[in-house]
Amino acid sequence: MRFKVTHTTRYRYKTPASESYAELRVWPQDGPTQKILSHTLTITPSVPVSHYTDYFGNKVEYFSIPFRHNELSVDAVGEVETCKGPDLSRILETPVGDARQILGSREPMLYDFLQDTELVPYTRLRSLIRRKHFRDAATLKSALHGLNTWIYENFAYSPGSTDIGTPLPTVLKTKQGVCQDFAHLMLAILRIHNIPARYVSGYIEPYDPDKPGAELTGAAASHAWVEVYLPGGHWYGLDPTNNQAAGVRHVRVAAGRDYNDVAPMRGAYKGAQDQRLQVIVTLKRRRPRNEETPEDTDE
Amino acid sequence: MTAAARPKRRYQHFKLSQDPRNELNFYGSGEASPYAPVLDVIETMSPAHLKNRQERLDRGARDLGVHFNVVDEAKPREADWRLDLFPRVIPREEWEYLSAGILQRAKALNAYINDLYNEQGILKQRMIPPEVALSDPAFQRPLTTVGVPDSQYCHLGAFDLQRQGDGQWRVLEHHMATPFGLSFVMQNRRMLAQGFPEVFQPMDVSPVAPFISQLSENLRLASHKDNPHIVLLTRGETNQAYFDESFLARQLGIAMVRPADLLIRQGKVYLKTIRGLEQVDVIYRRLASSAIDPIAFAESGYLGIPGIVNCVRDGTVKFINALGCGVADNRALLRHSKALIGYYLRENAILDTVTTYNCGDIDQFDYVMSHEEEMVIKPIQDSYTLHKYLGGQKLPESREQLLRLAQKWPHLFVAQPYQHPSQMPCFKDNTFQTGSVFLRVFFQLGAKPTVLPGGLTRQSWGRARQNPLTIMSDGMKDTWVPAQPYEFNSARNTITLDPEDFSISSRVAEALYWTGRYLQRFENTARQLNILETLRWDQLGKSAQRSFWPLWKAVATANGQSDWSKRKSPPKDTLSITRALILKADEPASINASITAAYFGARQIRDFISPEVWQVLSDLYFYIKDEAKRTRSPRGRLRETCQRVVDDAARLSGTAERTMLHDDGWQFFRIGSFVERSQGTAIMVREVLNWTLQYSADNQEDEADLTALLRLLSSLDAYRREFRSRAYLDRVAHLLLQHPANPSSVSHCLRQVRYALGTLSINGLPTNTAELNKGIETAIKDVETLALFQLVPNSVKEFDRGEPDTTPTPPRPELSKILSHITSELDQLHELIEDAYFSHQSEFYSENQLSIELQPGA
Repeated sequence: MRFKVTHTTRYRYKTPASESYAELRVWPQDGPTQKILSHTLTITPSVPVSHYTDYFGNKVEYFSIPFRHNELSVDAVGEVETCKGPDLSRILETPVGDARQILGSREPMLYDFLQDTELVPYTRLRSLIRRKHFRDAATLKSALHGLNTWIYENFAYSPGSTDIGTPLPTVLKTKQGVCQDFAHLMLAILRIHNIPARYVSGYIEPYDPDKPGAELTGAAASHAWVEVYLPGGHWYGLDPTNNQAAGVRHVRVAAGRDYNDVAPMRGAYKGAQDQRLQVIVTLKRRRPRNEETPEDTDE
Repeated sequence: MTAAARPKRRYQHFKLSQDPRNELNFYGSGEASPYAPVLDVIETMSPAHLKNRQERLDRGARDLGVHFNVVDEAKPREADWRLDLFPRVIPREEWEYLSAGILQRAKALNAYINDLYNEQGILKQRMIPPEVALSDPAFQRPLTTVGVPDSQYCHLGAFDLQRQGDGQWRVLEHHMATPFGLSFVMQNRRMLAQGFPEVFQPMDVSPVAPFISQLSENLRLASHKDNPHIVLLTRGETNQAYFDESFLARQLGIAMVRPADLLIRQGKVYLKTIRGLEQVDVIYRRLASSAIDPIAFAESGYLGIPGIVNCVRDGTVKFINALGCGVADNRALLRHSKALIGYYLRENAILDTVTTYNCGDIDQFDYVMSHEEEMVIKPIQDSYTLHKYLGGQKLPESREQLLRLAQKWPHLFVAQPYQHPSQMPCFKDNTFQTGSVFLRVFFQLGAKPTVLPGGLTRQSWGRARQNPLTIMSDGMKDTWVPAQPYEFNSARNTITLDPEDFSISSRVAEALYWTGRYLQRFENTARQLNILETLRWDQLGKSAQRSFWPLWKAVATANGQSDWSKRKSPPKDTLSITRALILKADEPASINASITAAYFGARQIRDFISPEVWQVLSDLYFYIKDEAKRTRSPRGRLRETCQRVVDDAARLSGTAERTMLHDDGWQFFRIGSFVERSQGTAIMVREVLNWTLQYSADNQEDEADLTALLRLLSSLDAYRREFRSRAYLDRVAHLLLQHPANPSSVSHCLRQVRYALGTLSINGLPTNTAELNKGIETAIKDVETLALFQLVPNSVKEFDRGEPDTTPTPPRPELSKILSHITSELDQLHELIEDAYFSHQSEFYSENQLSIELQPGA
């Protein structure tokens, strides 16, 4: 499926800002479930942009604006072709007990996806999560989707109820949150059970133009979900906000241990505290390439 | 020295102790002991003689003004540096062995740092448990993609060692990131040589100074430039580390900077100075990596220099030690030292390590818990690095609390059995007593690996140290290694800082400027409120209230109180606004807020402010805080407060004038206070004249009390001397705006600013001051050429001709606009100063933003 993604971040400052500096993680990458057809990044005011690939393999852009400015905007526009990944159904039939054994002799690198992080401090949550989600005899599929459903059914999606500073224990108590809380919660439970998993940021197509009624939650902002490490070295995407596996309507951007590793934009500036942030994300389905007609009225 | 010349040992200061831990016993008591030459000197001296020498050493420390602990404002300054007169001696052969072991370990640890940030071979081959390395908060994943030239991460490091009862040296801790205490070694050597020169006579001691020269050389070599710009980056707290840093900066001839002094522009790092931007090539850092860059290391939650890691990535700047070295200091690694050395060097470890248990390992932690009485619990990294990972808590002091934290976050703690280090005599209370001794040894890696001969010996009476950035100690000893023949006299002169080479940094200039402004601001506010409150508003009649109200409004406007300044008719009482403007901490322009801002601003630049000035300012700060805490502040009390603030402001200016160096920094302090004063006067005049325009337009009778206006601006006496008449609007306006000799006049203040700017020793250097110079000339011209006689028709002339003065001609309406221009011109002047000297914006906006359009007065 082909999408045109636009991700606009705009800061407005009441009094001029100077010495702005920012790092971006908004560049989707090729992978088993998607191919990037084009991508452009526009910074206003216009400044040179450099980039590098980080520890987790994400593409990072960075720039600085040393002079005074009242507004800073970042427009990332890309075209992405998503596809079904490799068929993992046989691996998902593996009993949890066996999987754990196989994962036991894993690469040391996976340790990164099993440890406490600032936003997923699971060792402190152990006592708060009583339910046993992973029994040895269950298949990976039933255990993982069971967890997905459990989060979906027990936690209310309520935008604005939390922000990035809301700790997981609060989410567990109030039983509500947004996609990033659910992803963090799922990571905590997976890691408690010694199953390596990572945080994924990206975009989602909120409704299916062909199938009215099949709305997905997480529109109008970046979406977040989870990928679980399966025996054989595959990462399997699960979206607890929508109670489904990540599919062709998910566009991946970056992955890491938690939100801190993948924040789409992180920056600093000198000037008064007074800033207004506006983020607009759109994801539009495009016709396959050969049928394409010019679409000028897109924006 | 021949046996014949040997002085007779007359005193028996040292009874032969049988304690095997006493270092003097390690070598026997004979002539072969390395301590024999020292003992020869000391045993010829009487206790009184020794006491005198120790006093000299103590006095030397006091004269240096050095402090071990954070200076306590409440307590008088005491020197807490204590250097013992009895030096520690390490025989040559033993030293060779020690330094071989130290360099071996240092190389292996450097290889470990490099491996961890690149291949991670040691983890892949499972030589150490991966979690030891990967759950270390000092392991900064963003650095895995940043290259380090020649894989040389650590250039300067230190190890803590101790000798145990069996005579064996064992390593206790690694310091490969920001080793601390090198200056103490230098100072101790210098002080002992000055205070107790006799003790050096019988022995050639290996010099310590060449180590600093080599460090200087290594810093220079870190850049490919011939004459790189090197700075020392500090957090800048007034503690031990700060003393260490300022001493080293002086010895190395480099400037000391804080994160706020540096600026990233187009991928390069610049130091902001009042002379302009200077590109920085090498940074000798004394901050943990996590505190360097808030963007790369978002987790750490510290400020820093946003984006500097990407400058390292691009190779435009180099850190020494390289960012990320902290992983070698991980105490959980101590247990694996032997494995590390074997893995990276294929050698057997020369030096042993003190037994260390990692709480992150369940079995080891069980052992620790079952033997907790015998254990010292330590965090794996210093509290600065761990802070965020311990739920934002500070590291507690007691073992019980540490143990509780270890149970919560086992992977962040280790345990070491209580140590019984070797002991040495220390001169205390006029006699020799025995204390435990520890040794910190410094080394440099790179092209020519070296170990500093000797090191820092601390002695302790049993207290444990919590923070690796401090040296909790009951005293120090100079540490000697006998010199090798070729080494003797090889000490090169170290470079010392030539103040002429360094311009004050923009941060310091800006802080002094703001200190000057705040000082003027709270002085103004306090004086004005004091005068207004003396009127006893609640007892004034309606018409009197109306004639004072414009003044109140002017004061409110000058203090940013827009709610009050818009009010047309006077309120019943003004007590609540007075109280807010004096005491309210969150009222931006209140006296309390201004004093607080001056205090914290000045605290950032303590070393540029004389202790006398600091004393007055901090007394005032604590006073106003106490006043703000009162639940009831009646009018009388408020006036007392204002009076005290006015008096203290005068004391502050006077003390500053008398005790501070009148250098560039001082000029910024003055510039700040004149800019503030000119703005204060201009706003008051503008507001009062606007009121007059208003009432004359409305044909109302009320008139602002001009005498009170003169008093509010400290110009009443000046007016009387100058005019010897009642207050007329044109004369008042002239005196306050244009009079060259009235210290409150706008013109006078601007001329002072121009003069002060002209004295700065920065002429012909890159700072772009053209716009500023133009701006100030224009402002002076605009104020001084203001045709007041036309704008404010001269009522006195008519009076002189015998006409009544009761119906003065109203000022011309355009006056309001012109005065607004002048006040905005003064606001822009501030921006121009800021752009030229502090934020260096002028290089970007040379023309567009700064032009000021003003319609001249007539």
